[in-house]
Amino acid sequence: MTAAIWASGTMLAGLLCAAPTPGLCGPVIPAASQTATAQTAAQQTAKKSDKGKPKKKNPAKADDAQKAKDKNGFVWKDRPSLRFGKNFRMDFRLKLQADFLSTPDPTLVDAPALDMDRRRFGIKGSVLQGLEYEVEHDLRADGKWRDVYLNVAYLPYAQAQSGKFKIPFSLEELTGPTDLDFVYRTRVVDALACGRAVGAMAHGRLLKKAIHYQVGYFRDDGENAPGLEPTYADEPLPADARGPAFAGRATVAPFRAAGTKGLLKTLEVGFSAVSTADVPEGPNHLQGQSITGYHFFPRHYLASGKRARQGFELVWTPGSFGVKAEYLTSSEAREGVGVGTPEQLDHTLPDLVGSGWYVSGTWVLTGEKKDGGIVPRRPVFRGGFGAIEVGARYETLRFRSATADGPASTSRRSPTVLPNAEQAFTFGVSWYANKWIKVQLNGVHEHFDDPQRSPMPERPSFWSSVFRLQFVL
Amino acid sequence: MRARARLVLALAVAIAAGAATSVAAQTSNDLFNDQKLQRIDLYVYSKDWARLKAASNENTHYPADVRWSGLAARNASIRSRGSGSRSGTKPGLLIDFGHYVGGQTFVGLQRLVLKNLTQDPSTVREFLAMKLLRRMGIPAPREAYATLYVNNVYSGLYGIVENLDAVATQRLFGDGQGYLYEYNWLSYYYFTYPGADLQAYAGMYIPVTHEAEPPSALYGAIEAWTRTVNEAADEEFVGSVQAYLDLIPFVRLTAAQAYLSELDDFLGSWAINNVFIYRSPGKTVHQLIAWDEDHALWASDYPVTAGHDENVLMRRLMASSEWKSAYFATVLEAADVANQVNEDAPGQGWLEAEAIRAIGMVRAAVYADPYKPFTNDEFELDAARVLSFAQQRGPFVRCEVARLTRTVPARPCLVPAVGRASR
Repeated sequence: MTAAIWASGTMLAGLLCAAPTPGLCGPVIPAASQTATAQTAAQQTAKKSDKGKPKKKNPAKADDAQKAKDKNGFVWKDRPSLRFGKNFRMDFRLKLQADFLSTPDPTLVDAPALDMDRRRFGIKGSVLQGLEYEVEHDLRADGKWRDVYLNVAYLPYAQAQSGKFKIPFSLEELTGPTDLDFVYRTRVVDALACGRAVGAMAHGRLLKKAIHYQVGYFRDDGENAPGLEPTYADEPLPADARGPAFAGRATVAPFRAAGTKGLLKTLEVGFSAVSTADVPEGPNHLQGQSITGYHFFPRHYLASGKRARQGFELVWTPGSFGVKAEYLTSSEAREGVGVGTPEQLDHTLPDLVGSGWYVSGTWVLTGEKKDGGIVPRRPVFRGGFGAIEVGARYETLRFRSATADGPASTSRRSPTVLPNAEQAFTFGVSWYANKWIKVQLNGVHEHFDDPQRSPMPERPSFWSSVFRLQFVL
Repeated sequence: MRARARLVLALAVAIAAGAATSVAAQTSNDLFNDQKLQRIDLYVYSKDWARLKAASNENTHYPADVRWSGLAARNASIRSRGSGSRSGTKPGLLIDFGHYVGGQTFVGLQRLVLKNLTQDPSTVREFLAMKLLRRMGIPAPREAYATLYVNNVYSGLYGIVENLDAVATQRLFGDGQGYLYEYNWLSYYYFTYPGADLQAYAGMYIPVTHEAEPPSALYGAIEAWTRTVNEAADEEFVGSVQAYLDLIPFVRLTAAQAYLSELDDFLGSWAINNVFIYRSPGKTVHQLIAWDEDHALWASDYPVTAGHDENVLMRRLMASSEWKSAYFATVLEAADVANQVNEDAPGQGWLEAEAIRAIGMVRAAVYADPYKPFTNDEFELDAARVLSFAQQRGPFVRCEVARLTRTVPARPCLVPAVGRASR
């Protein structure tokens, strides 16, 4: 609580410091230095860099910067921070997002029109120059711990991380919510990616960061999967959670590895996979959800056994442009939950398969570089207008049986499930006022294959719009 | 060599095509072919089957695959059914082919009843009663027998009963679009007038079709029918009631059930029960359909006018000499049909011959049935009672009708001894 109160005070001071008011905030810390200290090797998410910024060569200012770097105690470095030389750093983080979702039918949205669901406070830093940590918690009465981990980062190519953090699967899932190109993650990533779990991971970067690998062992396969339910409502929940899960992800920037300079240098491709040892019998499969929260493919069919996921990803950020694409697929076993055949009692059903992909393109109209995150060259309150980015995205997500065996049915023991799919177009514009404030406006057109399982029955396609106001320290 | 291979291939294709044709050509008439003992296989998740039996008083649906005579219905549903016959040992079942697969039918049927035959040790009462009704052209479901195997395990002898739904009314009345209700026994009810509040009818008449329609569409005609039965003046009674009830089929059904000595029907010992009511769309006239006749063939000397005085509709209708005559004529017609000379067995009437055939057909299956709630001796004893009824009922009824219509002196009719009865 004390830290929270303190953070509020320093946050206010920090905001004031954003304005060009000499003497009010102490020495100015060079942006390059901020980036170097704020970045962790453990998570490639929320990566900020100042590569696009003009270098400051003034010797006097460089001297001031060095002094600031060496300062002990509380400092302002984009956010309030507590530092003692190189051996201790604790940044205080705050993330606030307010969303205004508008749909053709207001009753589609359970939450109020103004949704301030994402309110998080945390600390992040390092100890003894090689031990990195992060702790983040929701600022809600029913909130939960988000990231809570320790990363041993003495060797860039061989690091070890333990605690609760995101399972290394899916580029977009690993991108922090405040760094997304669009307000909402894609339906396929929301449905098929894992989210956070407690576990341990080895990871590192090789060949001048051209290759990045992550291999982990987790207690389960993440928070995104629906909670476990028994087959029969009156029976107790399964004694043990699903899991454990094994995950691996590797990305490679082939042109960077080859030393190529130019636009292709930022092209990166990757593959990731997660395998869960066992999911207890029950309606515990992954489910498809629209942006309103409506489940167009709800948990219903009985699953039992291994759940596996694979993902392919591509990201390319040439200059002010950004291109991202992913293909994700999940396969969930249904061992011994069938009605049986003349040959076998309680037979095994074909796997339940979820699959989907997206491709998105963005363009920073004001010219800032996309790679590493957009930092406005001329922020608001410093004589500028900030940065403007526009983008478009197409995505699809489908659930079905791996093989068709008989008629598609709503029976939860049906070999052939009643399939459904969603396709969505998103058009968006984002305004980066400064490092802390971002405003996004998206128009989303959703289409559902089964009109009866659309958020609005008999109306399979409709537009929604969402406006987001974001503040991040 | 190649020619021989082609010949073998052609034969194989022909055999396969023939088999496919024979399977595809099967209809619901084949399923309800009561000349043979059918076999039905259900494949149910083992724990679902255990739960269905453990909670047989619930109507929970469970997925099941159904197989019969080379045909399969995938993703059907089964649930426990019945009132007094509900059993956790040998559950009566309702199979719904379209519950999980919209529009799915099996040999043209949407649903199928598997009756557990637990309330009739002879196992043949309902089968014979329905067969007599159908033989007289009275609306009644088709029935046959099946040995039921659940997950390849013999689970007992069951009656296959045509479910009364839109498919059945299409067959019975050439009209599958109307309003069909199952009468729901709540208390002793004799067709008195419950009042103008339509909710009073909602509990008694459960809609099988048009379930989502408002009470005015569902129950308006029934309320008017009931009010008319109770409030119409005597001289206008028949004319008024005919606007709401097709009287000829009604009289034929009640008269035939009287012959059959059915204890638990529209005029039964527990007041109105075991009947479906049908009304064509846009009409106000209702018809009754027989249901659940397992208390039939009860007693050879059962009165042919049982229940008439208590039931308002029947009491007032029988006040009409014209309809009273029609009623007794139909009772005698039932006696004629039941005792029609059997060419294959000249010493037996039709009903007796059918009883003998049915009992013989099911005997082995009954003996092997591990879940029946009676012994093999009880089966034989009750089967003998049924045979006695088939022999004795005709003479008694003829005597009774003659007595009641005063064509003979009014003295009590006696049940003739078995084997000496004159049919």
